[in-house]
Amino acid sequence: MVKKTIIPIFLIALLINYSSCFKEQPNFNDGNLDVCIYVKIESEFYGINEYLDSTEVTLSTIEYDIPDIVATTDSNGFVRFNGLSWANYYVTGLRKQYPVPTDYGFENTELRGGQEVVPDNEVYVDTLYLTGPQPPGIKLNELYTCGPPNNFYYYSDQYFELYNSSDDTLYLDGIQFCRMGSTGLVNVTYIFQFPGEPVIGREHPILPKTFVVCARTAFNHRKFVFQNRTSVDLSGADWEFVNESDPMDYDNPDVPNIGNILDGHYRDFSVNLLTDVVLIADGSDENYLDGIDINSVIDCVEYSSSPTHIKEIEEELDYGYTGIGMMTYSGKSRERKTAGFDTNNSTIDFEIISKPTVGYQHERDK
Amino acid sequence: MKIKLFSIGSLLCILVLTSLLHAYDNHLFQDLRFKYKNNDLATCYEYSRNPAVFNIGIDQDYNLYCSNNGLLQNNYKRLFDPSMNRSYGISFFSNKILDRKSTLATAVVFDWSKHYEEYGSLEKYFYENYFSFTDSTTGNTTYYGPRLWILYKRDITDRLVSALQIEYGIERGLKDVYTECMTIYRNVDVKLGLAYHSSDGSFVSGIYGRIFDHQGKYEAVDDLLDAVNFTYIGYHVYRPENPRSSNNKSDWTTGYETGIHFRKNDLLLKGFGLRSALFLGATENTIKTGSSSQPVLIGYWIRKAVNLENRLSYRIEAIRSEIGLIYNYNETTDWAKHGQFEVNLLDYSSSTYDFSLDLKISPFRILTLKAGYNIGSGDIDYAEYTADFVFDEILEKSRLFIDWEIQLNRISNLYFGYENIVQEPLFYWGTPEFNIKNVYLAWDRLFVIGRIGFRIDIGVWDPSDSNKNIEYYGISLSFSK
Repeated sequence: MVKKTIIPIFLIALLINYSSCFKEQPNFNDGNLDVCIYVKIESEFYGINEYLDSTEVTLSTIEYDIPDIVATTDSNGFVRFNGLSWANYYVTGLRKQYPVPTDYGFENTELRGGQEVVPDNEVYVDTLYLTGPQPPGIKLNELYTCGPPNNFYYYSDQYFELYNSSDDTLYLDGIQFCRMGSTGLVNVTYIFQFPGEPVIGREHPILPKTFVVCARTAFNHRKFVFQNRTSVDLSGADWEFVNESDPMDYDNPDVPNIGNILDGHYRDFSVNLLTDVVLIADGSDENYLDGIDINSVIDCVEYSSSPTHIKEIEEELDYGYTGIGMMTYSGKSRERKTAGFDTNNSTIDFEIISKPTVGYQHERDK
Repeated sequence: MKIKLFSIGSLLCILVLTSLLHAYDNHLFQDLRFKYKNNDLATCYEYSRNPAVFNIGIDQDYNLYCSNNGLLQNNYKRLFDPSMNRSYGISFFSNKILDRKSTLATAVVFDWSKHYEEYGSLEKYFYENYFSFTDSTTGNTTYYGPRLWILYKRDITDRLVSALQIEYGIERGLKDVYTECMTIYRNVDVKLGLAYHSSDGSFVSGIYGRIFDHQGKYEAVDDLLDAVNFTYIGYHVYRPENPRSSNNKSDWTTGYETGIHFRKNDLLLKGFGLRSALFLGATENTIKTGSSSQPVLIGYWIRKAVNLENRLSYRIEAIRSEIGLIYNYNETTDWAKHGQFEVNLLDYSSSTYDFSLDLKISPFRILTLKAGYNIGSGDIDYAEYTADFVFDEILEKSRLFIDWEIQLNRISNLYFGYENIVQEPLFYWGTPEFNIKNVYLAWDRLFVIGRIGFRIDIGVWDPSDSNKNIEYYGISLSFSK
């Protein structure tokens, strides 16, 4: 009889004990997160170290369908966002006009900055540093890689747009165009090169404030593949990537070539549709097999559609990455927010645009 | 005796094979259901949920074959409801007395259901999940799969019975437009029960324990663009999933339930009876989404529930009548936690009770009438902290039902049932009140080959502030031998 009584008691005890393996309920409810941001500029070069007032600070997250929250810093360079949902955020700061000392006095420039907010406490406090633009020069201005809307996996209309943001004529001679691997500068996947002598060559100029379009295939994709419904016309591209080792690679005779210089590479300059690193270097590092010398890098952009993407290229070259949320075969492109604007952080320098803009800058939403 | 057995068998075909086999949808306490199911005068197995009292008092082998066809027309629909739901099912049930001490009951069911013009939802029941997976398409989704149910009962002594019940089900689902989401659900549900009954059957008491494991896998792919999916956190805010060639969701639910019950006839006075059952249960659900190689933990949700059911009855043998008073109490608490941060995403708690008065009379040997009235109330608190949504209301419910069982002759019976429910539903129904009318008509007849039964169900749900309604039509055919 004792045994018969013990069995049900044991059964109940076992099952109730089973529930103790479940998760414990947290003490706090969502919606109680406060994010406090100090916005600051620090520059040893200019001797500046101050908190920035009247700076527009935007807090955004892709984890929920909630709109961006915008606020302006007070006179102490401080802004506070109250009662937020717990999520990973990205905070960006924009100071539209800031006087930077120059040889001729002061010149107003635009300051930007951005960084991740990963809350670890109910009140998150951090300092956001804004920087001015990088020195002007040749910039990777647009990367169109994801392919047009189609149902046959067509993405041969990829192109890259360069922009000369300086006031001087610069030269493309010997500039290397690289697709990087996943382990940083030491890992070059493809390397193509403009003709001419690196650094000193003066045969292929790029005029101030002008764009140069480098097409994977300089062909009218829009007309001949998509009957004018989608894609782009790259028949008028300024340059075309051509790999002479690939007999199937189309070569438009009217467009000069950027040629492959990597032995054993037999493909065109095609990059991943959603995740990759593209880099241009001045060509002074001739031994690219051991990687690219960081001092020779002119510009570098990392892109990925994934918000959880792990950075591939060194942060000295690109602090962030662009293209979060892009889709394959969506016909969208990535372009700098303003032509040539470069803070070394693709996350804030670039934005996704609804269609490629071959050889011109898109107009930003007001 | 034989006719009675087969009558019970025909009803069991409807009840056992459509409701007890809940291998995919085995949440402990569910939202409103469309099937007419009268719990007030339930069998011992139904009210106790204890496998050890299954078919108690029935000592014959029998087989049941059943097919059913249902059509749910959602003229009144929520955003993620299909406009129509058609379902078919075939089932086989067998009760086999193995020897003087052992009984084996088995059932095999194959269900097929199709949700038509369903917007967004990739869930079979969007509103029963706090973390629902959606896309932006409208399409038809087909679900199909087999379920197995096995119950082995063995007498330990003359009065002590033990039983083991195992349910296993697999169901696949496929949406017919991209993202062509494919779902696979798998459930294992095990119950172990122990019951004691007196030699004359006037006292039955038992205890059981149940554990179950539910796993659901979802894979949404796209042909041209990347698959774009959203995971709802509650009902008001969603998380856009990162576009990629395939997006996945997995949910894994484990849970337990334990129950204790007793029934005593002729309690203190002859004719008085009391039955009581108490259930405790809890589930834990873990939800991950994203790519299959690097899933992201979205959250957990935990449900704990207590359910108390009591029925006091008085039976007047002379006129073959019984009157019963029922008191039910349910308490359910849910909370969901963020997958990455130590915060609650939502809370739900409900405490509901209802009183019922039911009556069973047989004024003539050929006629049995069951009728009852039920009123209930529930205090519902629901909060979504991420969306800053709060629902705190007391919801009322009343129900009137009447069942007729007419013995047309010695070999055929006619059944008729009607119920009218007035219920204030939860907020996501978007209406303050439903007026629900359900009716069924069933007939069975003993032929040389066995007993054949036929049943028609019709249900209409009228929301109080809309001229659209929800209609349900069902047909079942059964053969028992």
